[in-house]
Amino acid sequence: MLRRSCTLLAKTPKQQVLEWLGSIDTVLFGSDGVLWKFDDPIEGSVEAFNAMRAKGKRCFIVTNDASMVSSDLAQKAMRLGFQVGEQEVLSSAASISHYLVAKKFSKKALVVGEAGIQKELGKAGIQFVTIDQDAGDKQMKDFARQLEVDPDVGAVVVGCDSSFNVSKIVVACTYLLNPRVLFLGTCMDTSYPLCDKRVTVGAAAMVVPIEKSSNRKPLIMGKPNPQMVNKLRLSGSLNPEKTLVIGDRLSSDVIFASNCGFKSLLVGSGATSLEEAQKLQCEGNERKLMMVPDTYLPCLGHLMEYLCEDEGTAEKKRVDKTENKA
Amino acid sequence: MNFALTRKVLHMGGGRVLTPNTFNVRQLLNTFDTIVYAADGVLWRHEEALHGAADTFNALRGMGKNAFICTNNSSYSCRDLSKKANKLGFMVAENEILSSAQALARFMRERKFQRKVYIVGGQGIKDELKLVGIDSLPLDTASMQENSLAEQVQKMYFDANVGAVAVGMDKDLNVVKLTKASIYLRNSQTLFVATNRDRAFPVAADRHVPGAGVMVAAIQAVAKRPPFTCGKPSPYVCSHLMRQGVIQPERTLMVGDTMYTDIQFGYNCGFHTLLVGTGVSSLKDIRTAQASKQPMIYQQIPDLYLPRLSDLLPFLHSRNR
Repeated sequence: MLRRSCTLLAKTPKQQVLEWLGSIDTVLFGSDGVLWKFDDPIEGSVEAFNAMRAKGKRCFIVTNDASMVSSDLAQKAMRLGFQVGEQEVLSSAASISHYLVAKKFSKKALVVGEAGIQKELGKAGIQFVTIDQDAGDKQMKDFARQLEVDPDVGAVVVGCDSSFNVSKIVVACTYLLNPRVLFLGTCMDTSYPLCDKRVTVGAAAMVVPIEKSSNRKPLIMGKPNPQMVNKLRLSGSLNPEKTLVIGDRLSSDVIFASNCGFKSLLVGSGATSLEEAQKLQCEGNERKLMMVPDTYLPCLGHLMEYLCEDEGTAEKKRVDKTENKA
Repeated sequence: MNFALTRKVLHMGGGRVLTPNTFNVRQLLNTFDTIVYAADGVLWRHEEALHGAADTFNALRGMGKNAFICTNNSSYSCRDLSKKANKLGFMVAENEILSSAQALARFMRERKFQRKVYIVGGQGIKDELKLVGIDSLPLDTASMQENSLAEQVQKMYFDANVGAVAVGMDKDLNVVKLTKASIYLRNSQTLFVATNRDRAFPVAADRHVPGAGVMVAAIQAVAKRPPFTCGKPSPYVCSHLMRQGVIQPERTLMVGDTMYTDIQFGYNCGFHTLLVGTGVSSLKDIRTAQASKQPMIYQQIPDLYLPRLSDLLPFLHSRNR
């Protein structure tokens, strides 16, 4: 399958797809929009994921979700039926803590985010503090003037935070005025589709205002940063030509695959629709071409027809799916 | 520093430091009929007038110059702003105050907007919209009630009659309001307007507070589309006066304290520009900009620089002083 061709696997001859799948030995799955949606598994994902494993492929969950520590993410996956171990879950929060450890970071980190980031940092032995000051009824200018800066804070780490507000922006920016303080972010994912037209916001809603207010650029450690799979690459067992990224977001998953030289499969069960991907392809904008996936499927479950041992079952599954789609 | 007796008195965009004396101040004033002042950092700082600013403002009026106060501050309506100005000693009428909230309301009225507005901002926006007959939802005081964002969003109430989202400086912005605004904006028909894009204001050494630009950036990131910005540096905030001939750009001086807002605004309108050092930008910022390789930065370099507006005062002759 040609790179960046947005090939519709459903319209490709089965033999070609089987050959393409056969050439893959490692699969990196996104979580939201691929395997599950908030707390519910997406139909067909569990079977497809476990079938990939059964075929002997190495399977990892590589996710920008920093709301839980990797062990809890693995537990959630197992609870939903995915056969995966804690070592096979790589999150953006873990990527941040590995980065800080590699830099021999010995100061404190100011965390604007949920428990996931805090626990990952704690696991790696990095001290962290959260923002508990709030302006309340005070004027912002008085709040800002009365702020005390902890000289031990050497980094500001920002991820999705449900208690985010302007007071937190003020505190984070005050620390970031010192150019020696690091500015790290989990990801720039904008929103996650919920139901009808509703969405929940992603980390971009926290990173962007802090970036704007402090006039500093963050280092984003989640996808599309190749450092998400640093441990895998350093172990020497990763062959880019044989690695497939399955994701739902062009700006993180597909660019991540492009950055690492991996193959990419876009699924339509999450944040991106086929129309968006095809529109980018037609635009012909050089820089945006990095966001066009190699292949497309409506959802992960559609892979089952290529993963089944039994030809008869595969044929039946394909008929079922086309009937459902019609 | 003398000015030559030519028609073109000022070197445009040169960032010249003005050392006022009777002669050059008179020359300067002959070039303008109208002076547009920024408010915060030029005339006052928060609730206190800057020393000598009121006297200078009034003296310039007394010499026959028209005055307008043009501010991006959207927390108050023009009426409240004029009351504040008068209380601080500035002789100015309500119709000489131009605010970004007022510009936003005018923009909506010009589009014959009939529906409701969801506001992420201050009372000023609500008041100005009401003045032009546009209805808006009550200012949102929502906060996180549920355990997770997903649950909170599921339970959110959306008014089907909302046709626009208006964003200004909002110290109570939180994830709930951010999410609500972005969801309203998912409908491509919904208008997205902002009062201004100011990034941050210094309140002390090493302490800044975020401006409306930060709130707008957050919503823009999630909604994935930009707003129409009604305040400085968009010329829209005074374009109606220019069209009516009340302000003639080539005979107008913009006095501001922020390069990327006030001076850029002056450039966009075709005004002459004077930067004062009592606010956000400094003389050092001018020199940095002059040395910068950024192609468009020349638009933010003022014609003249003064440390304080009141430096002009000793050289102004006026019976109103």
